[in-house]
Amino acid sequence: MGLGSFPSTHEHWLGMLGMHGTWTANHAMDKADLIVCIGARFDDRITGKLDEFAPHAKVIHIDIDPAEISKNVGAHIPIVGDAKQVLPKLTREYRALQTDSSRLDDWWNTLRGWQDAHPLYYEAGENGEIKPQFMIEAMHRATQGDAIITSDVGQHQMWTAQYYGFDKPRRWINSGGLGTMGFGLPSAIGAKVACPDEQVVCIAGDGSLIMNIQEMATCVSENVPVKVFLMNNGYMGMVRQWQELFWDRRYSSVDMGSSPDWVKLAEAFGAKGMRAENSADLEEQMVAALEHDGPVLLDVRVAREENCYPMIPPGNAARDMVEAPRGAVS
Amino acid sequence: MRAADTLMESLKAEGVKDVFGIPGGANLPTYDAMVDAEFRHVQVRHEQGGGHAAEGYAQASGRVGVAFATSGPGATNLVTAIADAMMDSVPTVFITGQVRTELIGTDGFQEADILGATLPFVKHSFAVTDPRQIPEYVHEAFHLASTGRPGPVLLDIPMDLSRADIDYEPRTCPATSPRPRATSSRSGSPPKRWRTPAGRSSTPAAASSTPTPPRSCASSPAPTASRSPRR
Repeated sequence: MGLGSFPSTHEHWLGMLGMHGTWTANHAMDKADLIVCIGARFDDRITGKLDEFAPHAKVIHIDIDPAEISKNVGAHIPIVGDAKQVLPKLTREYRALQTDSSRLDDWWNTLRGWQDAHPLYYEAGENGEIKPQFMIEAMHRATQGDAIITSDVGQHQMWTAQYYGFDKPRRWINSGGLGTMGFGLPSAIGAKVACPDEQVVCIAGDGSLIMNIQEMATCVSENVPVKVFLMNNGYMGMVRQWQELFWDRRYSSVDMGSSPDWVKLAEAFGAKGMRAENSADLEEQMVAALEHDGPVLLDVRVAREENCYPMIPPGNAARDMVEAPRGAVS
Repeated sequence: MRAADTLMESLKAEGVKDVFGIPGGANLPTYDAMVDAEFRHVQVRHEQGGGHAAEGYAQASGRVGVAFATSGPGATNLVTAIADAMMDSVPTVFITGQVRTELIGTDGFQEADILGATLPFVKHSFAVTDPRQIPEYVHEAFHLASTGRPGPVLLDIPMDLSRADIDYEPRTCPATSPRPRATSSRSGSPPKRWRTPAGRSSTPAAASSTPTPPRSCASSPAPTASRSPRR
């Protein structure tokens, strides 16, 4: 949820935490002596198995809502207040200690080593096949990493969180807590109405988008030129991934098939419909969609059964996270 | 002034520039007033979309997102968005129409207890029982939605009350505590009955024979902004 409040290009950024966070960020928590949590609630998708979360850490928990303190993870030092007021005071006091930052050199070297050994990884697509992760990287290039991105819920949401690289706050708008499929398109309308001069892109899943597709009519009639980049794998992808990994690949009601024809559907609403099927053209098509002055739905056909890694299997500790298999045939 | 017009004035006073929603039977007075409102109304195609649009608006800009829906199915279609805004602490105000006060509790057409249905998912909710409450409730709703831990606030307005003709007093008292002591002229004067458009005296079911005076900033305690119990 808070991606962008700390720039992803900063050398101290380790990546997102949690079930689909980076190996390094999760292992840093696992080995940490001290965790300073600012305005977050140690959600179950962040901690993995709660009993084994950050076993060595002292916890400083800053939150404006006292009900959050020690709700999930016990706080050794609770600070109730507005982060905007607490952080300047905290940093002032910390600087007054005049600590020697070199005492952390070994720790940073350890983290760098982990980052080199365990980067985010996916097998490149062959023969023009569009890998979902590649789609997010292309979206980053096409928008110069400077769009407001709204998202639906599922694999595409996690891949965007992993691969887009948010550098500013209020750029990553998604349903983090409730996990509402169909959130992306209407929230993009709201974001574009609020910030008409910004690029606003909805990264959608095909399972999610159809749940609120009626709002394409709003985009057209109210002249709200949002761009929908549809990661179309013909599945409710995250549910399919769980059925594959944890339910013996017994796929149950996750295949969305090839219906509807998204290009025709966009055109039926009076929007521009486009389709991308080859990785070589993808970025160019995204730029064309962004330059079009009305709403656009770009149907991007991606690899169907790609899984989102790394992953903390449900009920496991963060340190047990599983990375993408290398050289595996997907 | 018609109560629905005081709603528009009150929203304008909060600096509202854009709202989202869909009209229906129970919020017809509100949408009639919307025609002359000085802010933009984005006509969405489903109330859930309007609710999420208000959330996206708030998250992109930091301003309070506002969504309207009518009673019954319009209001229940908002429930997912309200729950979503609660989970992600998104500053939002949801304004629903309600059936006429005399129909509340009778399974009236398009009646739903939206206040009851959303109780676990709101930071606070207001049921308007006197049209003169609207300016203050709007002010408090925006204050509650946007301060402390932000979240969704519901304002439910029965149709007869939004049509009523009332004396409009712009809400000037800051909602932030400490509140002024009970010395305002309003708290001292006897409550007046409001007039329905037909000129009949209205005795809504929700009010006793002597209508409850509106909660004013001078005479009533602040609503508690408690969150639902967790775990």
